[in-house]
Amino acid sequence: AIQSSRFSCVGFPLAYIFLACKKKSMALKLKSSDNKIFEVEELVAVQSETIKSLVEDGCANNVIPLPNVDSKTLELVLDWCKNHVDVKLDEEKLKEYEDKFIEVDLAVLYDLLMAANYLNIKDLLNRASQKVADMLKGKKPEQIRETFNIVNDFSPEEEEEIRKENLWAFEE
Amino acid sequence: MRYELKGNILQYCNEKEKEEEEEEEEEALANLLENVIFDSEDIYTHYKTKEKSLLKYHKDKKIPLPNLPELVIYNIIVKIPAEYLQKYRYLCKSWHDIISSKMFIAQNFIHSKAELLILVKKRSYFKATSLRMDEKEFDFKLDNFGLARMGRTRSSCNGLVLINDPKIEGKLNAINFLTKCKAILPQCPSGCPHKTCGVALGFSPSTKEYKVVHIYADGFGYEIFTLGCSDNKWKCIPGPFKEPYERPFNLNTFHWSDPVSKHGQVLHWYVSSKEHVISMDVNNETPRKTYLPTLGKMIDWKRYSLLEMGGYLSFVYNVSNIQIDVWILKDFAAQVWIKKLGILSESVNYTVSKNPSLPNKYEHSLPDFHKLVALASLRNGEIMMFKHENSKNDGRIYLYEIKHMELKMFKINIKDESKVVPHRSSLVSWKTESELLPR
Repeated sequence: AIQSSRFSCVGFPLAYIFLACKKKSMALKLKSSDNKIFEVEELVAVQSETIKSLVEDGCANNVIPLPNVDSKTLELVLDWCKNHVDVKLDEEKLKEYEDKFIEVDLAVLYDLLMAANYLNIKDLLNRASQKVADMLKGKKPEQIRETFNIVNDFSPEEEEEIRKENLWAFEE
Repeated sequence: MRYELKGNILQYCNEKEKEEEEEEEEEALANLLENVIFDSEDIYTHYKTKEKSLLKYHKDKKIPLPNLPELVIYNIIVKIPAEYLQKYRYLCKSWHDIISSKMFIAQNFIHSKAELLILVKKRSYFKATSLRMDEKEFDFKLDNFGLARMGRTRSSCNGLVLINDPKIEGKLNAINFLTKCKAILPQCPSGCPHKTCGVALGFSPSTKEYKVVHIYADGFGYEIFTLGCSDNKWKCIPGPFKEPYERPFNLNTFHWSDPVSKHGQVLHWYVSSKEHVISMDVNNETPRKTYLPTLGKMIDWKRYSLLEMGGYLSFVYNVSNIQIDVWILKDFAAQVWIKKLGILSESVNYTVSKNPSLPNKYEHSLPDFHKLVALASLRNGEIMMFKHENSKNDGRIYLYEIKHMELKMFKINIKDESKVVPHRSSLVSWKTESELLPR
């Protein structure tokens, strides 16, 4: 009993110091598609489930290549991650940040969506999807077709049929 | 999903695994589709755990957006409000299929924003207006809702509105005004004309059934109708009071009113009692007494109102002419109430919305808190809506923003007898009523 308590006395602070060192010193290197290297703290980077699984599998010692994300987008994404390390910080400020962050044009938004999807960052993917959804709502069906490059594959008869299904006249 | 480093390129390494899992996934998807209807928590867990099957499911249904993966597109579409999606149904076949799928409808409903239906009685019919809070400003938008001539609107659940048939007395309809689907209920056994009764549409998440719970006089007991049921008959169960002396109300003057509905899952009836309300979990169909919070003094049964607030039953008590207290039923099963807030007139920041026609000076001063009747809550419990007891027909309403303690007076078309029904629109649709039953 004495031995084990002595062990834990020594073990606890040691483990603590070890963890603290590990947390501080661990920096990951990410390489964008245009070969720019980004050095980021592990805590920031592992918000990407993709990078997290790499770290867990021990594949993150060298530079991690991200061939699907260009440096401009990666910079944005990492900025998002830095601001979401400790979500509990200040809800209102975080919301403000997110609102500002997402005020970008459609092209950037597409890049963000692609990157968030590839890197598997849930909250960014959701926020960006919400933004696109907000931009789309209220548009005419024809405009939606253009945005999404949709070809109407209904024949006129089929369209008539479906419209009828949903047509219900009130006896007013 | 797993990734692997191959040379310089990060690649998916689950191609082989995928094929093996395919069969399993198909089964899972079938399960998923069968089980998913409107239980939001359920959906989230399903969504998280079965994401793979979702991905596969939507891979089969190609959406031709350039460069964006299908799941991302799905994620975008699902966040578009139902009223717009109704118009986008006919864009192409794949969109039509997606927008019609039960799972999509359920997920889309999670994102649906709350609105209030305000019913104003005209001579023989009602006019409905929908009130939606502005997302940023402390203001709202009003729109016409439903038909030009509505019946008395009773309750709303999963986008379906329970309404008295405007033409045929004593008939109830459940209608989704967005998808234009309608279910007509048979006359109930008590023969109730549905003028002075308590009725609501509920949804039981465990059985996935829509149920209309109705009480005319407690001598008749509760009458319950399951939408789409094969025998098309109401079921009768005993009322909440076994013995006449148990009734807290005066039989000559009391009549049942529509209950407060908590997401359609639990209903709470006001019974003029200083001790309790009558509640029913729509799932088990058993009425019970829910005791009101302990205030340390006698509760005046004329001075409180009940409403749904941020997913809880809320008890709003007009303590004095300068104080209103708000309690919420944190735990329904254990009957635990907590005091959410006290609104004190001295700490309230009072403003009047810009309105040219304010003839009376008194409207610029803070209202008497005794006279404010709580009607509903908005923005997921962040805003409360009151009307003034003495406003007659001048249409005064007061919105209170809890966080910033801001009370603001507005004028809208609302009358003394007006009813306010919380509503969220959905894409739920059916061709025959039996489709509303679980499959």
